[in-house]
Amino acid sequence: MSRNRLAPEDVISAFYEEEGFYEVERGRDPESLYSSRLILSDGSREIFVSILDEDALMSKGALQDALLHAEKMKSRYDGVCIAVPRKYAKAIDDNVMILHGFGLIIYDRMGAEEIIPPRFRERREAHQRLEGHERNAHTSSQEIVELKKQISKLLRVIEELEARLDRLEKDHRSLIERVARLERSGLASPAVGEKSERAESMPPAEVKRVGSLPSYLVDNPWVEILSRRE
Amino acid sequence: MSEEYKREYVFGLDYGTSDFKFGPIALGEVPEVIENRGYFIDRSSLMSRIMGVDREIVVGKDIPRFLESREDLAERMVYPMRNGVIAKDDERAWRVIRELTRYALESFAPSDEEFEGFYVVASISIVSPRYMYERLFEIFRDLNRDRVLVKAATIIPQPLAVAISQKTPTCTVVESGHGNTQICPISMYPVRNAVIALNRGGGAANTLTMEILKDAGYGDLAKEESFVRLVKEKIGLIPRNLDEAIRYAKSNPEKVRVSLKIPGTRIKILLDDMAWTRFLIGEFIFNPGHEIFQSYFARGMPKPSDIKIGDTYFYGMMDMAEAVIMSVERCSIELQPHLYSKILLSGGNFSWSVPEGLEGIAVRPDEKLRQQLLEKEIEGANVSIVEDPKYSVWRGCIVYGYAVPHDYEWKWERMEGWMYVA
Repeated sequence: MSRNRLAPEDVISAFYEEEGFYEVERGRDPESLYSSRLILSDGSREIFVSILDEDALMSKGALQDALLHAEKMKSRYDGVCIAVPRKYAKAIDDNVMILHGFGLIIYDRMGAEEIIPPRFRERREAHQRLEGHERNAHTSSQEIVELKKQISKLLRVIEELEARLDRLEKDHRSLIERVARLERSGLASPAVGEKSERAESMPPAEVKRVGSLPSYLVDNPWVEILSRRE
Repeated sequence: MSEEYKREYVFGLDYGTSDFKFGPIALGEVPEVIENRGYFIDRSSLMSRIMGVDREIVVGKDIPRFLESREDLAERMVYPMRNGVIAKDDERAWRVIRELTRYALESFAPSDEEFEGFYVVASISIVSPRYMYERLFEIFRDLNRDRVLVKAATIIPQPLAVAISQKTPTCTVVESGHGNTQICPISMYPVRNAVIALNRGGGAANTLTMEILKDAGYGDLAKEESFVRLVKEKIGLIPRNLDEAIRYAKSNPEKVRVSLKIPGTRIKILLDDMAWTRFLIGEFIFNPGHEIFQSYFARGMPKPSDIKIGDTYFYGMMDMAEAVIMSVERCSIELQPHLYSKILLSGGNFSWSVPEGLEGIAVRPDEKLRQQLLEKEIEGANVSIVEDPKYSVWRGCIVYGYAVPHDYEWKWERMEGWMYVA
């Protein structure tokens, strides 16, 4: 096969092979009206090349279509390039291409040349990761301090909850105690106002008659014996 | 007003050798019960941090949540009252006592403004030395630092509390727990000079049960105390007369043969030819001096020894009836018949039953002691086991606190009255 008869896909593919890429796919691009596509890979990255030939560029919307389509492909591939015949190179502003991360390839029958390399997503991510690591390095000590604070807060919350539970249990017991007391006093004394006076002057013999006292207090001779201790 | 307040806020604390019973008068018949023990938690562990880093000792129902390996258990679990007396310098035991006391009081302290602290009646062993009283009062004072929990406190001996709860002003109380046995005549007051203490209780019977299990081929299981205790409680018998009981057992093996399945396990204990040894367990409580036990001592079973703790002498091998007689005979002659006429047996070591078909051969503890006393020419002794032995001390505390006037202040020479600590 002579070199003059090479298709644009061939020359572009040959250029990338020298760069360590191999061809994955080529053919008409079903998502574009004017361009064909070439997909290459080096094993870890994939490049999408949207190729416009002279016939296609005769159409007014070809370049526009290729650029819009290429923008869409940025999300699918690691790098996106637009390839145009050498004589159309000046129709494309390099700065705009760089700004948007597109690569620009010009080709003719003699071969292909990469005018602007594509901005690889992986590189961008790696860069982002690097930046992330740097940020992490700066923030890790702060995060540890923050985590420690959070743990301390949690421990305090648990302690508080425990204390509240203890208080609730105590109140619960206190209520039981009060009910028992009310039951006792309800049976023992007819009026609340009389209670203290009665208790002060209550001789042991009267205490024994209180019906709701525990069984071991009722008719217990020790109550009288002990109440005479002085 | 103070008398009424005191009666409302009487609080009983019974520091038993195994269990700690506590609660205010408002609880009525039954106190709260937790084991008399404390667990020193590993403060560096994650669990302890989550559960509350400020706590060093855990007591009560929370303990199982903190338990770690068996090795840790032995090192960190403290039973302060195992022997009834805490050594003066046993700081770990005293810290557990403080924590148990705090736990008990805080559990019931009402949050209303009229509360000025409980009137606490604590009960400890009759053989407790004076420093134990001082230390307990110190704990009550110390607990009031954060919040007033104790308005006034008093400490009474456990046998007195038993006599009070049983409504008996003149009697002899035999209180037997895990580690020791106290015999105390009571005549309105405990007759302290007549107290006799034995250096054996339920723990000694456990030791013998362990030897019996080893002889029966269960040596591997005999290492776990709780297991041995369960076997003792299920198969142990008190013989009316040991020699007769052994003869009976050997000629009627089917009557005493026993098989015990440990609940929740595959373990089954079968005493067939050795079923007669069931009677040894109960006999050992009352008369370890019987010649049959010599073979066990000769093979290495520890012999209950005579020891002195504080000012009290604890006899190891003295039989139960002999100890009761010795105690009663230290009292006035006029009082002695009254003391024999009401002997009260109290404490977990007197919880024995007679299985169906063995009536007359096996007896309850009260009958055994009465029989022993009769053999020593003490006729007409009236021995009885107290009702609800587990709660009798706490109930006595409540009655004591309820009845003793609030203005009767503590006197060291009489060892009674209220010590105001708030």
